Amino acid sequence: MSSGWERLTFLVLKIDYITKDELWSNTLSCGFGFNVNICLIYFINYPGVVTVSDESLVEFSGVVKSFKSQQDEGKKGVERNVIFSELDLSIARGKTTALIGPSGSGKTTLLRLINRLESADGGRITFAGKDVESLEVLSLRRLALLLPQKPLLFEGTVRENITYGSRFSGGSAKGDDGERFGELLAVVGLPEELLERKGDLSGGEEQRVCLARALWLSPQLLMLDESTSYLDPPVARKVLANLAELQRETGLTVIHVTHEIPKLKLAHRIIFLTDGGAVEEGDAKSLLTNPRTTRMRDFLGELK
Amino acid sequence: MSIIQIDYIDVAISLGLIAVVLAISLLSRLFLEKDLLIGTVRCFIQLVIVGYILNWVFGLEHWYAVLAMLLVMMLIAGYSASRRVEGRGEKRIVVASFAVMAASFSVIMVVFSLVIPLDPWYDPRYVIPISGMIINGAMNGVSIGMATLRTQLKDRSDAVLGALSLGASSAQASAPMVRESLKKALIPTINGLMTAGIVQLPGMMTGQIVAGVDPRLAVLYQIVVYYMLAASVSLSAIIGVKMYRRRFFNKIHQFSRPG
Repeated sequence: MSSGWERLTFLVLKIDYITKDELWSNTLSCGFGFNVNICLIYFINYPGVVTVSDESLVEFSGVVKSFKSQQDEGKKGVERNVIFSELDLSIARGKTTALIGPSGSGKTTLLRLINRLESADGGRITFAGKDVESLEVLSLRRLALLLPQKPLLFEGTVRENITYGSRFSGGSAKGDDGERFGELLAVVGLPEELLERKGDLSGGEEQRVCLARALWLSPQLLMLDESTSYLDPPVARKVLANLAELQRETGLTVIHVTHEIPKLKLAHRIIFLTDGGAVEEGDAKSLLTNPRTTRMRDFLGELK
Repeated sequence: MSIIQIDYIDVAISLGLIAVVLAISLLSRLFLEKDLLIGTVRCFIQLVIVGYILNWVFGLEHWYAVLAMLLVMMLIAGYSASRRVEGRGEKRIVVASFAVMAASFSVIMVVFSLVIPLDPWYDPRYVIPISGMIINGAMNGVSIGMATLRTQLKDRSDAVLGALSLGASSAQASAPMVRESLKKALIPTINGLMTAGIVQLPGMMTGQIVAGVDPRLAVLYQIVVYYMLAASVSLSAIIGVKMYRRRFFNKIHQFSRPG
């Protein structure tokens, strides 16, 4: 595989405007019809690279994070609320990793550390091999896209909402809009008629618009913080299946915070987070049937 | 042109009007007696002191006395404006004072260099009361603007975080809240412009007419006052809100929600 990468890099450099680091975002966008020439070369030569990869996209090593406890805010020298004392974990590239754990175990904080809505107090977090601190923060947030549980629609139509992220990157709407909208709506399972609607959506529809808005930016990493929780089980199953399909095509990496067993079963890997950042991670199927620690067994027992 | 003199005895008689308020408060169990009493006494003491200070400053006939007076007025206005904004820290006071000073100073300069020519240029009879109105407007603008920004960022923190997560800069993510704050700061002034002369006869105009000035001239003065107020309210609001916004974000576009 390493020789494959080298040859690929060579081809890519010949095209001249793309670097090895940008490669992933470009292969991703080809799922939506961009850079087809690059992708063709890519798929003809190395069809396995995108989907079969053991590399990790995100790595935490010795990450420390604490917060000022709420009531002590303002006072100096008070004890801090430690979320992670020394967290090590890795997120496999191109896979779906489910993140579970009791409330307060730092699931949302972990996601926010990746896209740098929060900064770690110590340790190192890398994204695609680079320290997140060294990356330009706004582009990092578009590549490592965090989708909160509570759907949030901005003013305007559904169409304007889906393309909302583009206005921040300075990029205007792209040429093959129509096709792009069609694909995204198909993934999230919304009808085209909805595009011109302003407001008046159900919670589930809003969540799906938010998902489409996130995918519109072609992220490398999609972080779902219970972001499909308002969908009916059959709809959620369909949307997640579409997402898995997209993942196979584009190599998208997904982190999914969820406590619903059927959704956990769709993940490739599971990371169980407990207080202080103790971690149990492993293959989803074996962990679900055979949790190694009693803590995780008890936790899963409560979910069922 | 003569003005009817009144003295402290006349003022004492007008206290009877406050007695009416007191009676209403007592009869309707509003429990406002204490505040009413404090307010009545404070109003009396503050204004009497101001009267003496003004009399003294007018007598000094020095430009630096007038400027010092204006500076004190601006600082007090900045401090009072910041007091109306929740939260801790000196940042509020610095921002509010700076906004009040920058906004009112610019408007004062325009008014007295272009609109109302003075002789001498620092004539306290004009500079102090008119600047007082400008500073007051700046104070209201910045305090409403900053207080609204704070509650907006608190209540709509999800929207801020949502936009940041889509790669918005802190300025982009907070733009809707900044807009809302500026709107709220400006609405009273715009409403005042709309209803000027219809709903209320403005204080300065009333004063000038009572003092025997031709109502047509008094009206011209009042129009200038309205326009300069609008300018100082909006300038101070925009300076204050934009500076205060920075307090809730850092260089790498992280948001700290006001508690």
